[in-house]
Amino acid sequence: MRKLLKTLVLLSLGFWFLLVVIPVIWLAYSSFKTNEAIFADPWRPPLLSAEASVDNYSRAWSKSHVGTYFLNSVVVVSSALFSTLLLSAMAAYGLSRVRVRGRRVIYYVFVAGMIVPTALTLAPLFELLRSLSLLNSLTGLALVYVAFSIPFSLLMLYGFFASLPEEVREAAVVDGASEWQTFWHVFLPMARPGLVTVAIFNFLGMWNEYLLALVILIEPEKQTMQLGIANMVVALNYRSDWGTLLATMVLAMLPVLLLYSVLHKRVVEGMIMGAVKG
Amino acid sequence: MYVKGHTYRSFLLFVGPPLLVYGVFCFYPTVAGIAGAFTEWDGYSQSQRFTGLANFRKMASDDVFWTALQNNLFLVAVPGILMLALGLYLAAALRDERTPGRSVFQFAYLFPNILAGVVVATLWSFVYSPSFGVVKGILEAAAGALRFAHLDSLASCLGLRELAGQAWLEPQYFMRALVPMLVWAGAGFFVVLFLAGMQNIPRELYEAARLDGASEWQVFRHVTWPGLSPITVAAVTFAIIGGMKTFDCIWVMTQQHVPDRNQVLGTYVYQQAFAEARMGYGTAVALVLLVITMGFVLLAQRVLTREKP
Repeated sequence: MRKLLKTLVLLSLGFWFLLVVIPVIWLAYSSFKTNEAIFADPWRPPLLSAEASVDNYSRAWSKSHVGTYFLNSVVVVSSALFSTLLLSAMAAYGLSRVRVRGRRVIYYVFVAGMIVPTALTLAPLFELLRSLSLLNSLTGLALVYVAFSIPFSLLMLYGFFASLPEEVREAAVVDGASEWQTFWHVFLPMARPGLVTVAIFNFLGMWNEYLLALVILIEPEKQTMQLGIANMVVALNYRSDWGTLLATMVLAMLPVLLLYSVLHKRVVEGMIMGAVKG
Repeated sequence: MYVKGHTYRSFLLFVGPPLLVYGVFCFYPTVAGIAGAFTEWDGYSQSQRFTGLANFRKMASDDVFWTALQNNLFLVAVPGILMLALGLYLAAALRDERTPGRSVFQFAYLFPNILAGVVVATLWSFVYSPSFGVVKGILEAAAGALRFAHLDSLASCLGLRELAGQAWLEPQYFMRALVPMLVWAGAGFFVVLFLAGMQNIPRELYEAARLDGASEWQVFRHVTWPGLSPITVAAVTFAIIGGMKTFDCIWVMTQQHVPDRNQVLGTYVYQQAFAEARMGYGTAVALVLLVITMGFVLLAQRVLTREKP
């Protein structure tokens, strides 16, 4: 009886595994099929080498602006990610190590940003960016990503910095290091594990973000991968080019998949911390 | 040891730049959003007129607002509960470290979670697409299997063949069609969360239960479940917030034109503020969304922390 139950439980685990994996595998192999082949039989993998080609990818990259979308995403995410880490670490260091009056209040002002829903800020952000000439600009989007990522990143790194012994800082100061040198050469390297977790968490959020990009980026040549895919879905109505769309989806999930495969443990860690603290 | 002026200068050096970016691009828009909810404002002209509670009075008699709120409640309740239940079940099944394939399962289950909402929605548009017919194929296969088992009447009773012919993303089925997709995409996160919680339960408790001859169910009921209560609070909170802020998948699957009966508050905010140029009203809806979400979260946390054994 117990044995039977165990088998049934294992079967259910395998069933959910297949449900999760099959659509992704289907997407991966179908992206190498021509549109005719997709329509003729959507299930059939391109078994013969003659049936498989990278045409969808080259067409997507050069003809459908996907190259531009991809580079835009890379530019926005990499600059926003770098700035988020630097600024959050600076704030975490200043708030946890430099003792001035009122720093608790400032800390709470930062952390309060975690409960701010994007929807509430859309209209004011649109107006603000327009008045700063940052509408329809990758810089504008990156700045907004940074601002929205600081609260959580700061919270995480603050915990990290606060747990490091004060003697380390005193030793560095006695050795004649400036405050900035102490931060850069002593504290940042020690906080590396925390920085990696925060970086992964923010990378996933920024790479996958859609709503803010939708409001801020207007012209096609400024758009990110997610906007590109959403627009291609609409375009299917008058030009059924499924192949290009499938190839674009694979390109959009490739960076995330790579990160996930290499740093699976850290991704899990980041998501759990995000849920428990957030 | 410290010179006062020097201390303030270095505080400013470290905290000033992040505070500036955060203040301008997050804190200010939030405050402006809360204030803007009480104004009339089209986003083009410079005029922003204070109208008091007019936006909220209008909302009370706005049918689309109520439909959207109902749809949000549906998304919190149905996919939310399914995800929590499935996540808890899969985590409990994976708890034993000797489970074959444990790490492969864990790796795969979380994967849909890290995909963009846009990608998930597009992928599922294929699943529901009449020209691909994944759902159609499955339903017809199910009907065929039932006929094979001489259960024709059951198949017709369930209306499988008629269902197979449906366009699933038509407005009348749309909200229900979202459920499998959201569960598919979201369950893995709850598996990971509950597994992490189970790892914090002392192993001795399980061994003691085993020695007492407890069944699997009794172990779950009396050891695992009570031990998970802090994680359960986080998981429920997450499910509520997730259901309330849904945007991407609806926006993409309706091809960026959401029919009234498929609106949720998130899409309605965007539609009002940007498509209809009613920024004040849209922002007021967003404020209500925030208040309702916080209300649910506080209520859930209160209920869950009170029922401690």
